[in-house]
Amino acid sequence: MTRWVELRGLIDKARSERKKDWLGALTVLVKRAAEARVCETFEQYRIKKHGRTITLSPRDGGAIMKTRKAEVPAIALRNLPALDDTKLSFRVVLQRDEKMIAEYTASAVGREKSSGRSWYVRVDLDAEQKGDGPCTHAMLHCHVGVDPAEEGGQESRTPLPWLDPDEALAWILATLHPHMEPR
Amino acid sequence: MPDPIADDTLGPAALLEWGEPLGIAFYPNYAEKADLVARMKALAQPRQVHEVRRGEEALDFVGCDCLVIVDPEQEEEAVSFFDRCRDHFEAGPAQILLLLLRGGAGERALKDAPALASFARDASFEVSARPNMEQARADFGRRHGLNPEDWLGRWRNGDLPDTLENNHVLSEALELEESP
Repeated sequence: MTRWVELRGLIDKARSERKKDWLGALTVLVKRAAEARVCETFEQYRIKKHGRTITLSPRDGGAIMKTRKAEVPAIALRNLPALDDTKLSFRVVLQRDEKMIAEYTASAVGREKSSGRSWYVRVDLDAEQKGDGPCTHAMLHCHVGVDPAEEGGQESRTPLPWLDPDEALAWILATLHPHMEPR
Repeated sequence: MPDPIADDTLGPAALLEWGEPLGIAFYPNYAEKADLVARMKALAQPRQVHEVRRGEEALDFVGCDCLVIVDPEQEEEAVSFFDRCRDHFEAGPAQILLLLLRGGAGERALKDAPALASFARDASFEVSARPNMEQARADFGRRHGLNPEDWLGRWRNGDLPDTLENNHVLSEALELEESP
């Protein structure tokens, strides 16, 4: 068994063992971001659970991440030291019995103040093994830089140990703003 | 009956952030009510949340900085109570959320409860029903040109790029996928 298969086993084990009020945990984190003036107070009220999906509800005039074919509801981040025009989005899907997480995605996009280049981070927990295998496509991984598939560039996925969805979001926020380091 | 002025984003914010003492949430069915209660508990943190079944029970908490969710066994009685006793809740730190079934007895009783209707106006809100599965699947098909199972099949085969957009579509497709 390779170390990559072992890592996949650890992620699947954590996925089946972690029980948490995910809606509450995500709400508390966004509330903390609002208190640190990283986003508007109002944003925490957009986090909703419908069926087995927890995500941001769209709003007229609310922030969105524009993709090729869609507009993904997002939270506008502000007062970031190094980025402008930054948006944060996430989505968590529970399994049918809602006893564990099926998959999640959490991402931020922005523009570097110093260079004007676009900046991108995305953490994905996959529902099942994708790609060629657990080395190139670890079950839980992150993309940092630009969205390679959007640009047609080299794909890379950094393998991650288990992170709850709110922990993945906390990592993104702490990367972007020093006051968001988890305590 | 107060016309709800807010959706279920602004209404809870009016109650928990902007100091409105009492709001009414009109829910469309029991599943949506359960989701709303879970969400209100998350939003109220770190304040305590108390769930009661009669308006009178809310009086026990009126001096506490907390959220009291009133899910009445008898909606008409609860409406009548808050109409008569609104003064008890005006100054206290507690926030009260009264849950009423849209189209139910409580909503009808509000026609004869002008004091409550006026008092609750600024933090009353509508809890929207989620689209039914059939509608949501049809909408997915219109937007993506495939039903959720076929979209997932292409995703699992690696025929779709691993983009931010597709990861959001994936979540939607998993939600809408019919049970195997």
